[in-house]
Amino acid sequence: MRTIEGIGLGVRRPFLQGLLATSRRVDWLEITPENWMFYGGAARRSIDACAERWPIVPHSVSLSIGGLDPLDETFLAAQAALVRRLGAPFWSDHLCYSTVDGKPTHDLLPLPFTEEAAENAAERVRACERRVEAPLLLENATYYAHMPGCTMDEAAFLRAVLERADCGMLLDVNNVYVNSLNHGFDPRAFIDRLPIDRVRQIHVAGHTRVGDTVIDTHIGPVIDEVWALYRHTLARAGHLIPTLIEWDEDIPPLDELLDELDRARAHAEAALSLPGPPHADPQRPLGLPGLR
Amino acid sequence: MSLRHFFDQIAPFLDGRIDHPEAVRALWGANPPAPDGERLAIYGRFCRSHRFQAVDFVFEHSRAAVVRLRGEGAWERLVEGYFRAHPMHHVELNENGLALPEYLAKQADLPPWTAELADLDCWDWRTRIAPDAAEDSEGASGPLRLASTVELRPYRHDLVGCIDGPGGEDPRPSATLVLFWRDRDLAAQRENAEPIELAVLKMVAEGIDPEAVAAAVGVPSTRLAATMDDLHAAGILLGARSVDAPRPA
Repeated sequence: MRTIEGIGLGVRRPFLQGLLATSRRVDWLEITPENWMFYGGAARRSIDACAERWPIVPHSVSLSIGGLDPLDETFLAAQAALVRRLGAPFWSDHLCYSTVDGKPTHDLLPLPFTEEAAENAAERVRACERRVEAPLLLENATYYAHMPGCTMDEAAFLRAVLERADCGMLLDVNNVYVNSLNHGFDPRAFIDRLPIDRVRQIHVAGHTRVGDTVIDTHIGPVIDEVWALYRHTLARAGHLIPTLIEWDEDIPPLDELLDELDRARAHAEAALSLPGPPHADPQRPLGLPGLR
Repeated sequence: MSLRHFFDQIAPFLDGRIDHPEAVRALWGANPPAPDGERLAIYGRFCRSHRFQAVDFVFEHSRAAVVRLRGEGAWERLVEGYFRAHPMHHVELNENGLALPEYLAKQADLPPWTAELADLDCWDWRTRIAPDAAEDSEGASGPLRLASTVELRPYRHDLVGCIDGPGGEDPRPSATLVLFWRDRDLAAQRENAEPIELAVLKMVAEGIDPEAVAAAVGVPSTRLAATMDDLHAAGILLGARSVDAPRPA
């Protein structure tokens, strides 16, 4: 099994060839398995070449962990094979639903924050982990509207699902920031309510304001406020949590993307050089390659 | 509201069967909370955009043709109609559009060649992503054979000539066989197949004597061998170069 540590990059087709040619530092990669797992050809060859050079983790978008449709057994079998082939220590998807009436929507849709939804998602996490035989991390998703019937807030819902499923979390710091703007809460207080010991991976990305709503577009560089929230998260954890840069549209030249990885390293070093917050474990070794 | 009831109420909105105001009433009644009711519209737009993403990439030439002939609105109505007839079913987005050629063939207000063009777009995609066959991996060894990605599709119009031409015109009526394959760099390729190329493909696939094929096609056997070399270099034929066919001087 391969180790995921340091600062990684989400693979997108436009820079795949450039990535294979770069000599700059990239610690690990993340792929969207739905785009690769069923196919051969040039793209598959490139992913195989990446896997020889970097550790890769699959980050899927179609699990529909919060849905009521039966789990897609074909997809789970392919995911299991991919996880084995990559030697990935875990895989991830989003705490949301993406199918209704057995039909994929190809979007990450918000659940009502209820006990029933939390229990349903937790049960399906356990089922998925049994099928794939690897830990599943759940990512906090963006939501632009509360769905009807919510009986708890997002932080309580996340905690309920993670603890009932006994699974890890992929904390998308940009999603926390976007949700905080759209729903008017304190993003630091939100992160302080999460079970930080369960966070095994972090995402950071850009976003876009459209009218009075902030949309999680993964466009543009990470803004200072999100970096500050990232530093707060690492300071609370007390160690580097493997961190990934996502950039999905209007993708710049690869070197600009890799500059974002360098920025993430610098922010991580800054965060972990600060005096530890109350929750930090000073005995825990820092995981940033080359930092300590 | 139970989770089942929630999904029952929101599903018709997400797949475009009811509009945003109706969905808001179904979920919240007459007094939706602000801004949640208003922002629900975002998800309708997102799901709709995914339906277009599922066909716009693979069916690039088909889309351009329909828009040129009938306008952007006609393409949008076509895509929405397609997904009502063929709902999303696959986790890989592009897979959901692959029944578009048969759907286009049923559209009486579009010329029949648009369905042929969609079939060509579809086979471009299928060729690009076809699973890697073990027998292709040792391309220079083993018996002479067709690559696993080789496919011939018959059309009643010169679609390749139209796509590769200056654009803006309908394809010329002409019975053609289009040859699809993945080259030695794994890039998808297509071209109108020439009669002599078809003869070589048949010869290799069925193990026919080269001299007999040359005689049947009416070409010198050296030309047959040269064509075989071209097809081999292109990655259409794999394996050890045949020693049976006479090589050109």
